Amino acid sequence: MSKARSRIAAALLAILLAGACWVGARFAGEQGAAFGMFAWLSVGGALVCLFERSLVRSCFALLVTLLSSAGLFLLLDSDFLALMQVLVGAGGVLALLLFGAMLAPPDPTERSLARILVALLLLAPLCGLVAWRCGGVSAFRRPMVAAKASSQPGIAIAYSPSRPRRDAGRIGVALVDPNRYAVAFEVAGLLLVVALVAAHSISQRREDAS
Amino acid sequence: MALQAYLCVSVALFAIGLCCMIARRNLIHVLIGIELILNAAILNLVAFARFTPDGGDGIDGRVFAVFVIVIAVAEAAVGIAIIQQVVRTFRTQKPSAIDRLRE
Repeated sequence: MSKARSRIAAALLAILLAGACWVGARFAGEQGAAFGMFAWLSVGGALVCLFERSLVRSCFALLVTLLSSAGLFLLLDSDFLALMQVLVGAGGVLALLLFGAMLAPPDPTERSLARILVALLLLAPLCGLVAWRCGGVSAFRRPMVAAKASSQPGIAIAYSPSRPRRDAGRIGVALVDPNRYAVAFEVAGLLLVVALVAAHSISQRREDAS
Repeated sequence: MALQAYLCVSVALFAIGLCCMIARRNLIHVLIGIELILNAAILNLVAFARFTPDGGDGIDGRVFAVFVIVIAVAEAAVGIAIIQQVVRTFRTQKPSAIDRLRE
């Protein structure tokens, strides 16, 4: 990509980012501005992942997506999960993917714009259906404490500021509580061990050894 | 922000990830698509955990999100190892070129 075109693309992305922040701030104040920024960055990073020819650039766009979804977790009062997302998602998975990107020579003719657009068109009704069922854009306009929400069983939309914001301790207690998730936690640890040993043994296998 | 806003972001991430899985002809890009889909799932879990009514403590969804992160890491590790072997055997990264189970 030439220098002028990349500058234009960067300026366009910055303008769209400011627009997302402005729309969020318009509807829900400071929190909305942060939400608009993180939501735009995560969806935009995913779009760059989808359309980018270079594998390394796709991986770094995935980094943007992972970090900004960590920001969304912070907005959802889950600081422990945001930390895990940065440490494990951005640190571990991305390093693995970049290592995988070094395995084979890149194929710059691999990306087919027509195929991607057809797939997006096929998936657009799904997005439209979900956005329509969720109330779509009108959801952004709704105030944080919705009187209508209390009449709906199941999902409460109301924001409750009384809830404690730190969740690391409560997640830790739930993970070691035998009545809740202790067994599942052990199974998850076992799964990680099995996966790591399996990854090691698969990648150690040679062609001539079989 | 309302719950629906997070759900819209999540469904957009899911659709882009699925599109990345089915439209790209590169094994690493398929893994990137799976990462995006798992990210959308985690976002959904955390959002529903955050917006549960006050009766529940909203910790179940977060614990499940931790488990999903564990699954994502295990899947990436095993996936990269398998891709390494596939590239070594078939000398290509196209999923459509991989059509034999063994030599």
